[in-house]
Amino acid sequence: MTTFVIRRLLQMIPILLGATMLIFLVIKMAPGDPFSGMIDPRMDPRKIEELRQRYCLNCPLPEQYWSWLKLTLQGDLGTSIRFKTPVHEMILQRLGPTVALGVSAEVLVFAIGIPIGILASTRQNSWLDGLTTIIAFAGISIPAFFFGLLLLKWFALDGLKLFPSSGFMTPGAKLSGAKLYLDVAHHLVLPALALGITGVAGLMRYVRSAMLEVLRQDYVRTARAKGLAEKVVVYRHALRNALIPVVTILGLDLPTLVGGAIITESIFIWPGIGRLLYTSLLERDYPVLMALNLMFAFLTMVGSLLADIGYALVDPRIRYD
Amino acid sequence: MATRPEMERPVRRRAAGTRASDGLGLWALAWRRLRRNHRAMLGLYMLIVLGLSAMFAPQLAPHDRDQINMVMVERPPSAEHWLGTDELGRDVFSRLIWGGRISLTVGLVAVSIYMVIGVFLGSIAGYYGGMVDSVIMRVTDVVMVIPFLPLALTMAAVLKPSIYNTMIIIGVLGWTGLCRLVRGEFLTLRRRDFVEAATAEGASDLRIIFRHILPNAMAPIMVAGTLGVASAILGEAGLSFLGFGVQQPTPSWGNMLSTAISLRVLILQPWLWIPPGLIIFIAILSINLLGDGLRDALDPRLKQ
Repeated sequence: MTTFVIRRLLQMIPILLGATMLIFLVIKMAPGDPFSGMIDPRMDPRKIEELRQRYCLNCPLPEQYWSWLKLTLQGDLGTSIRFKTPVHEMILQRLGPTVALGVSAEVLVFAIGIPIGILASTRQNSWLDGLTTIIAFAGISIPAFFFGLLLLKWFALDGLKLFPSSGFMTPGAKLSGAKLYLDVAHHLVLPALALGITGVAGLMRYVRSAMLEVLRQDYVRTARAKGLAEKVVVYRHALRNALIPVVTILGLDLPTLVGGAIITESIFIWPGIGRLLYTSLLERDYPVLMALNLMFAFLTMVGSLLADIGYALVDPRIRYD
Repeated sequence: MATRPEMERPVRRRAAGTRASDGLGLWALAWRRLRRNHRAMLGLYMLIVLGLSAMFAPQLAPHDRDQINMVMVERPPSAEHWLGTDELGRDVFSRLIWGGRISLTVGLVAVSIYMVIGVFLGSIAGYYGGMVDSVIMRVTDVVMVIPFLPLALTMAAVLKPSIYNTMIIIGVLGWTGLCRLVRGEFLTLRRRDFVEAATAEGASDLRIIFRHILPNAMAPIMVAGTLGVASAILGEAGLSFLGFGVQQPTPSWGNMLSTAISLRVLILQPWLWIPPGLIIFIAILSINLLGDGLRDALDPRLKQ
């Protein structure tokens, strides 16, 4: 196991290097000199020259890449053109709300997707099964932003003002302790639903077909043959094995969550990473864009690594060596 | 899928495909199975309607798409304007039909771009193996590891958003999954006897790849391509919704939906954003239904 993890970590290095190259090249396609915006033109010309030297703006492309990479590896993600603050500080500030949103969306996905998937599989070809198939197709096909807008209109704005329409917590309200958590949770419901809908639909179908597969196997027949209650057969014997591949979904969902977060956060004015990316796009704030893309690439890699490790942990049949 | 029986495949495919099957080919058999699948046919019919309305948009649209009419601004649906008018007095129904033409075209072109890239790279990676394979697969890993939407948005912001850049960006970023799929098919197919026979006959590599192996890998490619159109349309809609895809005054379903960012439109003028949202949903749903049916029809082993 340890050797497997180490090998996977080593494999990550060239891919991440490739990702830095790709991101660097994309940003370099921008007209003009995207990095010169980092420098305040009112500054002392000598200071400007020093900064240009530091970021190696006069060098040929490969050297520019190398100097940017060196700074990045040292943890210096540059300075935002728009806000003049270090990029890593901006990201850290926005990380909390996005993590909260992603985790709640994923909790919804599992809390809704798994039970419905099981129900559909145990009543295969019933009206309930048919209904879940329809819901699953609809959920996979509805664009997250359209669904988000509908939620916003129906549950936050029109007649029933059940949930707040935007933000992370009630502005101005000085809450603490449990009340603060409740307030944040109240704000979380709609964005988490909007972000989670595709995942719910996907997981429902996934669990259904995994369960059907397992329920057909011999050991399930044995369990039934020895007279166990159907409940025990389904929930104790079959479910455990059907859920093994589900572990990987947690890790592999990460990039989808990132993409969804950009749209969801811009609809619900959620002060997270997605919103930061969106405003940076509007401002052409290149250092922030580079850092965010790099961070997403890193998270995707970590996600798939965790998926593999999780898989190996829960399924003793899987051996990596 | 570890136990994919290599030699048995075509045999079993034929056996599962109805009675001794009258010498019908894979595609004729698949069509026969598809026709019996009501869900898939519903998807197909809806797509045909959408496709025809996109094709004949100039004839079908009751009003000029870009005609500004400042006395008829933001009117609710009426006999004159079936879906009302927008903030410049343009007819929403006409823009919806034209928007379909744009959105479907962007989806199809983007998928064609990435089919070419993905099939080509996947074929040579799977066929040649070794160094060629590792280089191509590492490139695929790199493109795959950066999530689509942030990278696409960044590229659009850098390149200046436009309808052509939208197609190119989706095409250039979308090929990785298909490339892996085609490579996988080639890895199994290239060891088969008919490839050896072709080699023995002295066929060139290119001929073996494109004339002998590729046609045998067409079924999964078709399914992936069909479902790919759905994600390309979603990609366009997402980019345009955020303002980094198709630009005004050209209508696309995504950029029509983006008016709903304004709370006034969202609450008071649902005719501006519900129809484009619904039609994206219908288009994606139809493609998913068809794609799913196509998968069942082309590979009956997967059917439950």
